[in-house]
Amino acid sequence: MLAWFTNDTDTTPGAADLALEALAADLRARGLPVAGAVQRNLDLGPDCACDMEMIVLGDPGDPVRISQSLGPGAQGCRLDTGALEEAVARTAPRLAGAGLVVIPKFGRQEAMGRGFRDLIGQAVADGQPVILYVPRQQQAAFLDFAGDLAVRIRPDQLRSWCLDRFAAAS
Amino acid sequence: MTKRALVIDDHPITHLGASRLLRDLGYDPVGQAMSGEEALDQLTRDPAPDLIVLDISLPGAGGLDLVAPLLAAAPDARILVFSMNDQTGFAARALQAGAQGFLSKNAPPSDFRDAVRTLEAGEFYLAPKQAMALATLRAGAAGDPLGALSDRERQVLALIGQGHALQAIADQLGVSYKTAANTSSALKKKLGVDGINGLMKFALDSGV
Repeated sequence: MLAWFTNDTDTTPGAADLALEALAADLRARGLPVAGAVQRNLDLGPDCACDMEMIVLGDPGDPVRISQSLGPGAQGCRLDTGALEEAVARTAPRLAGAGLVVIPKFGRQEAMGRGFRDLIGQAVADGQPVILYVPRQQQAAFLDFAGDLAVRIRPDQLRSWCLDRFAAAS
Repeated sequence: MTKRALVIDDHPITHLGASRLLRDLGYDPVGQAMSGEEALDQLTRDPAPDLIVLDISLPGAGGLDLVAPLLAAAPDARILVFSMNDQTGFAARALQAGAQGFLSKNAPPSDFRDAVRTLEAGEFYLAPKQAMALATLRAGAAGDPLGALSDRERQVLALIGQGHALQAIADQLGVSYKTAANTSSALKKKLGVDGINGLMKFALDSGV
C-alpha cells in the first residue's frame, strides 16, 4: 500500500518534514519496525536559507546533508542531488524486514525518475506499506507515477494509517 | 532457458514493482508498455513473451478487449490480468476473455509469485478467496436469477455493467429510450436490486 498526503492548510515551510520525522520517531519509540528516511531542516537564522539533511532511519551514521551553499542571494536550487542519491543508497539496504517505509517526499527529483522513486517501487513490490509527502506542485507527476495504487490520506490520519498497517500485518 | 515477459500498465510504479518480481522469478528481459497500442506494436517487433502482465484500466484501447489481440500476436503467451478492481465479476470476465490468471494489485508479492508459477505450469490462477467466490457464484447458478432473464434483459444488464447510460444502451440495441428504461425496471424487479447502481453492481458481481 502506498499512502500520500499533502498540506492544504498548513503552509509553514517544512511542516510536512516535521510531521514525518515526529511520526517516524513515535512509531520507532513504540518498537515498530520503520525504515526509510526523513528530512530535517536546520534553521540558520532569518537571513539564511535552511540547511537540509536527510536522516536515514536505523542508520547509525551521520545524517546526509542534502543542501549546498550557493552563496548569499543565490536563487538556484540548493538541493545537492549527489547527496540525495547517497541518502537513497544508504536507505535501500535498511528496508528489508521493515513493516513500514517512510519516504520524505515525492519531489522534483522523483518526478524526473531519480531520488527515492525506485525505492518506492521496490518497497511496494515487496508488499511494504509506504507513506510519503507529495508537494502540491508534484501531485500530477505523482499520480502519473502511482495511479490508483496510491491512497491519499489527510495529515491528521498519518499515525492511525500507519498503526492500522502494523495491526493488519500482526 | 530464458523466459521473457511483457508488463502492460500505464503507471511506472507497476513496472518498477512487477519487473523486480519477474526478474526474481527468472524473467529477462521484462518488456514495458504503457498502453495497449504500444504493447501490440512491440509484439510486431520483438520476440513473443512467455508471460504478459496486463492492467485492464488502460487509456485508449485497453481492458479485457486487449486480451484477444495480444493472444493473436503472441499465441503462446500466458496472460495474467493485474488489476486494482478485484471484483469477482472482473476475474470471471478476464478468464472468459482468454487470460489464464487474475490478480488484484492489492495482493501480497507472494501471491504474484504464486500466480506466475501457476501460469508457467499451464494452469489457471485466481486468488483462493476469489476462486471461492466464483465457485459460489457458479454453484448458485441453479437458483440463479440470471436464468429468469430474457436475452434482451441480459443484454441490457451487460451494457449497464459496462457503465453505459440508458440512452446509449437504447441507441446500441436500436430500441427506444422507453424500452430500455422499461427493461431496466423489469431487471430491478426480477433481480431484487435498487437503482441503476444496484444493477451495475449485480452485473459486475455476476460477470454477466
